[in-house]
Amino acid sequence: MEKILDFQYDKRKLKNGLEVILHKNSSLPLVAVNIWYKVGSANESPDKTGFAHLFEHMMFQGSEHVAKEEHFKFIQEAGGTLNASTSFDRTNYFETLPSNSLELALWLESDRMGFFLPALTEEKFLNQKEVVMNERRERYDNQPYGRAWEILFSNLYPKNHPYSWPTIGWMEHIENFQLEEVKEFFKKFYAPNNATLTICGDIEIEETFELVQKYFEEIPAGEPVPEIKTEHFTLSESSSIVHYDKVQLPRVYVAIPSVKAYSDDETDLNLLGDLIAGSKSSRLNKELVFKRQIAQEIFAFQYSGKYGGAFVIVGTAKHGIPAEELSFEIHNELKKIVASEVKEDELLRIRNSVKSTFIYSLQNIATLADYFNHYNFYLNEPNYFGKAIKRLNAVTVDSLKATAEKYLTRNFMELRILQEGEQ
Amino acid sequence: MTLILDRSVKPESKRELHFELPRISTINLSNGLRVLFVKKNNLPIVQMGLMVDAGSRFDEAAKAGTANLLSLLIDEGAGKWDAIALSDELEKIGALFFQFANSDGANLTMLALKENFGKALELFSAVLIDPKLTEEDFEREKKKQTAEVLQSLVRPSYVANVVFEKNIFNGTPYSHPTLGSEETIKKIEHGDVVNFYSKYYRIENATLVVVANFEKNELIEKLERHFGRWKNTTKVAFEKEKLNPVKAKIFLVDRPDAPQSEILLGHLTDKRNSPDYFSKLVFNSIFGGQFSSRLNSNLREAKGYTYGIHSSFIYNKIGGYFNISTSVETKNTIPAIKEILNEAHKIKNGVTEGEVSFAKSYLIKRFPSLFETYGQVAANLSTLALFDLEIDYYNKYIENMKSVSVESVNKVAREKFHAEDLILTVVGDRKVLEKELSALEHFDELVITTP
Repeated sequence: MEKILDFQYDKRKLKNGLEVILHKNSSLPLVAVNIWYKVGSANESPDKTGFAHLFEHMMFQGSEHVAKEEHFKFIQEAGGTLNASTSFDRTNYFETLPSNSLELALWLESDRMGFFLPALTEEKFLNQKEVVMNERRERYDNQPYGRAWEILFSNLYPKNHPYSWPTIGWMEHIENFQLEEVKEFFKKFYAPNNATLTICGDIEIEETFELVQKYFEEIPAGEPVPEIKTEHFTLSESSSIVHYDKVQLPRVYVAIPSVKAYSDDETDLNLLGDLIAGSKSSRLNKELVFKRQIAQEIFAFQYSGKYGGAFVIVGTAKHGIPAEELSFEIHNELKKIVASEVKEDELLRIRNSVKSTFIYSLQNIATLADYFNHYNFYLNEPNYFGKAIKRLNAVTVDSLKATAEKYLTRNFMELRILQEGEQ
Repeated sequence: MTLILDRSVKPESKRELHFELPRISTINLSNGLRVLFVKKNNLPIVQMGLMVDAGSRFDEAAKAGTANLLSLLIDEGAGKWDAIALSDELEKIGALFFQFANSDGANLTMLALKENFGKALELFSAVLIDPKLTEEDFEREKKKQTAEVLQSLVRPSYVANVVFEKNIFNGTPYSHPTLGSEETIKKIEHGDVVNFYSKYYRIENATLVVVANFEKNELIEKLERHFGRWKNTTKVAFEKEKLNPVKAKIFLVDRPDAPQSEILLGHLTDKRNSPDYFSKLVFNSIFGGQFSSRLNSNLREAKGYTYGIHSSFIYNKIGGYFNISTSVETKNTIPAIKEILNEAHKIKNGVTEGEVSFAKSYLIKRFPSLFETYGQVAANLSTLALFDLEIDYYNKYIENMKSVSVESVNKVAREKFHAEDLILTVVGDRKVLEKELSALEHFDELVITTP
């Protein structure tokens, strides 16, 4: 297993600060290009949220040498697929193309990194504001449980913590953004020294590096981006809030402040999620979904970012079961976990399942490229794959039990989503 | 000194690509089970899937949801393992097992590491051949399916789809949702599910697909050992079904105070293996099948009405439909529908050479990327089986795509795209929408309905 998880790579830095990671894999004539800009919604201020994501949309609106809509068209015409995403910590842009069209991707990515501003217009900006407001309506406001995460996180984190507002942003902020702010944002965050470019696939390393130099080297570096400061926090007491939505089945969210990405306890917390709700026989599933059938589904996971983390348990009640009852039973089961031993057999199953799923995820080069950038961003170590497995192997029944004790007994924030009209 | 780079010129693609299409082997096991196999080497992974003609179109209408309930129940214990033990065995070897039903078929799929393939086959074949289907497990899964229906009915896209299919497939076994409804699930008894299993899960209507890092002979030996004992060859007569065209109607589902309207419109179309399939693909690509399509460029990139709009041809065993779907802010519902209708009329007048060559380039050049993951290859094999396509379908794909012309796409636009007969489903705020919707000249009638 160690052998298939050791991915050779080359990492270099251009004079303007752009990090470049190259990995050769010629099993298919494809190439994946993936850029992480080290800016996400965490870099916003609480009174102007959603800007990093709106800006991501603007990056597809053309640049000095690429007209509106051409970015998509050119890549599609070459047989490629493309997209981008924004999270709390970063924004990524990615495309997979036939490997003979690599240069096209580098031309497009460098044009929007270096020559974005000359093509920016008010018309494009107003259009994408509308699109993003519709995205918010479609994915959050008009979806059952769609607002749950933003309500949960804005109550869990202290005011001003960079994870206390949603990446999509609050509607009234999106509505009020001005064109001038796009320019400022670009100048502040979209410089080569704040980005990493990863290229994976059917490539020659030296030839590819020269191409990267050709397109990116002349883009000037920007000012260093100031670090975000966050303070450690704990909840002084547990609390519970209620939100009414167009749903039929009530849902309970329990969030416990935990650790940042790649902290000591993180792998244990990942596995604790599976111990609680990873399979049919996981603790809460077996008791509440399978045996007693008061829950329709339960899941639990550790969310970790650069500036904070939370351990979250989500349970959906069966029809006719009040949220209050499900909440009581969830907490009761969590207490039982703290009081009981973890079995070797249980850990073995969880670990094997997590490991295999990890290997399955490496089947496509776009995912592989994103992993390289992920490990580089959080750990400055692009080929961390083998170590990730070592961390999994290091978890023991005792460490898992200790982790359960440490985190499941903490104060928590709970959100209950109830059916509208039942107020 | 460095030369200033001329960025005004789009770089052209370099050198010819070499792509070797995976070779598909057809294997017939001694009991008659058909297997489609592709050997793939890059990771020690095995992906397999069994597809059987046992979808919800075989549900008794009053007991809609039976096929789905069986699919939920089938892995709740099999062979020597009860539900929990079976799940534990799968987890122990890190195998991912999914099962689902749709209108045409029931599917069992598994992803496993090569080193655990023997065990994975043992578990997979037990689920297929010796499911326990106990009454206790049945009651639990029935309750789960009822809850899933309730949960789905609050999702606007699900509601739009159910209402759309109910009406477009009116009078055929495709008109009810695979999940069934609260009422029909209530009527399903344990015996119904057991009967459904023995009637429809049978060898001659099943295909097994395998994508693995194995030699063919080694694979056959393993498959014989685990699937050879499957003996169900009971005969079932399939009824020939016909689709009944529907007239231009609007179906409105009220969702009071909804911030958006979910819009779905379309019409019936012919089968997946009709000769103009490739021209339809290009037609759809130009009209609404990808980001740079006419519909998306207009409604998203020009008007800002939506986060995205998409069209597609959806196929099943006996036919299919063309549909257009989007969601828009309530106040833009009528303008958006009008804009869609405008585009629909416009494309009847023909497409351009540039549009056709763009779409063909997109569809031809992305072809190798459809064979990247084990799951993608397995899905391609399933497509062959589901629609009775020729075994060399993928070998001829590029050639067929290249033969599409402006004329053949325009013929599709004229003859196969029925802009006048679209049925429209809207899930949104009735008090705001009803009056203006019923004033739309394009449609004959407005019906207020529920899923």
